[in-house]
Amino acid sequence: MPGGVLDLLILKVLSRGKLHGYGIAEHVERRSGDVFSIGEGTLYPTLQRLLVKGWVVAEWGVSENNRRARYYHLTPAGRKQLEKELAQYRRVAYAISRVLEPT
Amino acid sequence: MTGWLGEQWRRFKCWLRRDQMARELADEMALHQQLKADSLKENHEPFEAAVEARRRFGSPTLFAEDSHAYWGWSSLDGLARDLRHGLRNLARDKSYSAAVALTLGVCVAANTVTFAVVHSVLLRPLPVPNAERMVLMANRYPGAGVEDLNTSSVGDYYDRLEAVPALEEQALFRLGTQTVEVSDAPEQMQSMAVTPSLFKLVSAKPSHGRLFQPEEGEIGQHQKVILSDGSWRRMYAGEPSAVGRELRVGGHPFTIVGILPPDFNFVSPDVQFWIPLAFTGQVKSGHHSNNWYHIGLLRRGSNIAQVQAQVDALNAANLDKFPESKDMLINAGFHTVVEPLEHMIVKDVESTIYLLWGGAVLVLLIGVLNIGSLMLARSSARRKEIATRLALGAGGLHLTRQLTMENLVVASFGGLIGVFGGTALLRTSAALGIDRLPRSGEVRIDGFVILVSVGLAVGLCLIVGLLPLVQNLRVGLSPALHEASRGGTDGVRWRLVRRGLVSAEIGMAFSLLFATGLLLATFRNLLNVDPGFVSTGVWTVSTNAPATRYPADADLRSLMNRLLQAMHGIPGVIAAGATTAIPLGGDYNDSVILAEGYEMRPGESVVSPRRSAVTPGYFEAMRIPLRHGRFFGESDDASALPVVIVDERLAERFWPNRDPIGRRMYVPNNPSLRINAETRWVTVVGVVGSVRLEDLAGGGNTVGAYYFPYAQDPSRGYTFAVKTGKAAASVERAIATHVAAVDRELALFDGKTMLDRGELSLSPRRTALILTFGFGGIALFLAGIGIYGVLSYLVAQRRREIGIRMALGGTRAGIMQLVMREGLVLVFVGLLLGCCGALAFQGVIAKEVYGVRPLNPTVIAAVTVTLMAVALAACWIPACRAANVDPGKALSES
Repeated sequence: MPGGVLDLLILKVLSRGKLHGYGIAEHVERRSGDVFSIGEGTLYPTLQRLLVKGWVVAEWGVSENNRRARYYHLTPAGRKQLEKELAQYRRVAYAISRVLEPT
Repeated sequence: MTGWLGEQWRRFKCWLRRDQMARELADEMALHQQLKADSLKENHEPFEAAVEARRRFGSPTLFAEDSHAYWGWSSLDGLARDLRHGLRNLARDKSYSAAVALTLGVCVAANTVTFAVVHSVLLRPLPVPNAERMVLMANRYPGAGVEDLNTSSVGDYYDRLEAVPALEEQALFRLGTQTVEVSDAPEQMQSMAVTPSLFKLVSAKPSHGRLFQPEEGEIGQHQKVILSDGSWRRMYAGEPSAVGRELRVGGHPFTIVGILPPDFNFVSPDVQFWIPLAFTGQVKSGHHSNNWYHIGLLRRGSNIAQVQAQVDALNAANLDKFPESKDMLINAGFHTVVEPLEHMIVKDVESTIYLLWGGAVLVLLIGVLNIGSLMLARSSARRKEIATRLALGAGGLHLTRQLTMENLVVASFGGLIGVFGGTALLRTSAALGIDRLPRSGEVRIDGFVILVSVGLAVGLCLIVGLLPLVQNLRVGLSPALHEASRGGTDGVRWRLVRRGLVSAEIGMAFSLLFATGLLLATFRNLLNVDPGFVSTGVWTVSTNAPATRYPADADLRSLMNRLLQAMHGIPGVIAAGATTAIPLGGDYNDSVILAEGYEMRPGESVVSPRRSAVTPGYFEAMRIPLRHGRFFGESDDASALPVVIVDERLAERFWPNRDPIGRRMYVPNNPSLRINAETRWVTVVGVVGSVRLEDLAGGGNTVGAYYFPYAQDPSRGYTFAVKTGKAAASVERAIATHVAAVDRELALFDGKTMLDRGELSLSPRRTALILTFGFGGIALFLAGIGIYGVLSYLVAQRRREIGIRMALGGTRAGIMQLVMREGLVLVFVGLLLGCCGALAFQGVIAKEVYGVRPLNPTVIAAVTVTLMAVALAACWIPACRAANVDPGKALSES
């Protein structure tokens, strides 16, 4: 998975509401049709980075099955960042598709 | 908070709560594993599911570590960890750490002291504003033998005020001593006579009162004085009302107009008061009476070359303006040198000081090479440790950082020791003679000096510290892990590197010792040089007859007679006399003199030999030998035939192979040098030996000297030379009481034995000698340690081989030979390098030596023998150790 993409995916997943780490990983895996699998080795360091960047905040809560879990949700800055990365992604994706189109 | 600042703040908050954060992260990951295990339960047994979940999850510790990187600043944390690690490693290896820190400490101490001198004396601007824009203009007449002059004449000053627009401000000054009456007791004090413009030029601000005004540079208004802070506090107890009071200077009443602040220091920190220079009209237009230092302040945007060009143009114009002296000046090679004022003050010692610093840097290089060799040895022993860590996943960069940190720690300790050592060493600056260098009062160890000397040492240390890393990182892991303690094949190359280091060390030590040897030979030559006089038992002391009580020449003559009579009355005095220029006293006059009937070749220059006036008894007291004719006697008084005594050099010039006695000479009284009705003729009555007036090395005036009898050429300032059969200093008190009996108010000053004057004149050389001697000793010691270290290591590494050799019948002598041979190869290569170094340095050292060729074979032989002796001793110990290897033990080990 390219470097910036993980940030984008996590931010996107969180834009629909708060989730805990496992939830994020599972969500991404399921929605991508098992194409992307977020390794825990990248997930947790990335989450720490997003926290430090101020794009997400974390708070402890109780999960569906009554376990203490840490939930992440987007901050306004995170939302702005998501917009930015989405726009950037669309630009790149469009450009790539233009190049790959049969002429 | 967003942006970079916000991120740093969040990082900081995380860092503060990092323990809690770690716990939370662990909880979070535990939950993750559990949830994963839950999802796997469908296909697995519960236990298997947990194991599978854990396996799939990977290493929580590693993830945690990766996450921690975002809390706080991982690089800082890492540095702190490396620092702790380094300290622990160093503490474990005490002898290694001590050796490195001490070696570096000694080297840094040497560098701190010498660089403090370099920085304070040579590099730091003079402690006055705009010092970098101050220039000195000096007239030189190489053809007449006047090459070391730093002064100009008053006529030049007034001309240059008009003709040198590149200078914003100009001033004259002159240092001297004056009798000041402090509460009725006469005292000699250091004074500086200045044009009122000087204070403006150096941007001085008075602490009380005011500075001189321009009109106070005119006769009639010039009896004003400005006191230094020190003399003001001493004489007037720091009372501000001193301003406006009267002070008698040289017998005349002067008004105190101002006090300068304590930090005012221009050219000499010893000046106690300043008086205005005021000139008569005749002096104002006089050229080539070079008695004053002429300085200027460069206009902003101008440079020295412009000043030089303007002064040259002025000189050329003046040559045409005074045609009668044109040829003479051209033949004498008259020109004016413009140079930075700072340079003039220190140029005599500049090369010596740089040479010393070079020596100290050489010592540092030797020390660092030694440390490098030590580090290589130590890292060979640590190869397994390092290879293990590499195998366990430590990155090369990380290891580099860690080892560099370790080196940095030990090097910093060394630097610290060095700075303290250097400070202590500088305390003994009087013993080293540093206090006699120009600007010595400003020598101190400041932040910049510490930064440079410690920075240089630590930097070099870190660089050689990379050697072991290169050594280790290039080793394949598996050979390093598997090899026996014997050392792998790669070790051979690194042993070669170590040997190279030690050979280079020996080479540098050789160069340094060689310089020491040359300086030592020079010093011995100078001590043995025949100065033309005999110092033993001679006491010298100066005085100044004040114009108020001795206004006329007749008064001066009668005072001199009474003083000499008094001195002859002192028991133990063999001879006594006075001169206006005592040898090695630093105060000389020169003046053009011509001989009757001497035809100058076309283009030949007139000469300006040293001129002095001496009393009967002076030559006898100084044991200056008489070659022809006679000394001065009581009969050579004011009413008698004017006479002169010349030295052999001058006699040889004017009357080669002819008898000079009875011939006539004259001091020209006009620029055209022509004889006229007023020309004062003197007859030669004697020829004396040449005397080293300026310094023992015989620099300075090379055209000879002539002497007038004091009675026929009296002056106010003179120095007595009193010869006794006992220790010279024993007559000091007697002279003081006898002089007081003649005139209680006559101040005596600058009392010294003639031997001390000789010593003092050699002071910079002695400083250089002591320091290079010290450096040479350290270098020798370090080189010895270097050889010892390499051979000891070699013996330790080759124990098995030695054991096998012995078991196979090798003799002890054979084994010793083996080790000694290894050592001697190092030494010979080193000596070869050293000889190359000596060849390369001979140009630099040539200026510092006297009476010995820069490639003196005796010195080379002596240095070689010394170095060989130390090297042999350093080889001997490991060789003995090798010979004592017990083959049984050595073979059963490992």
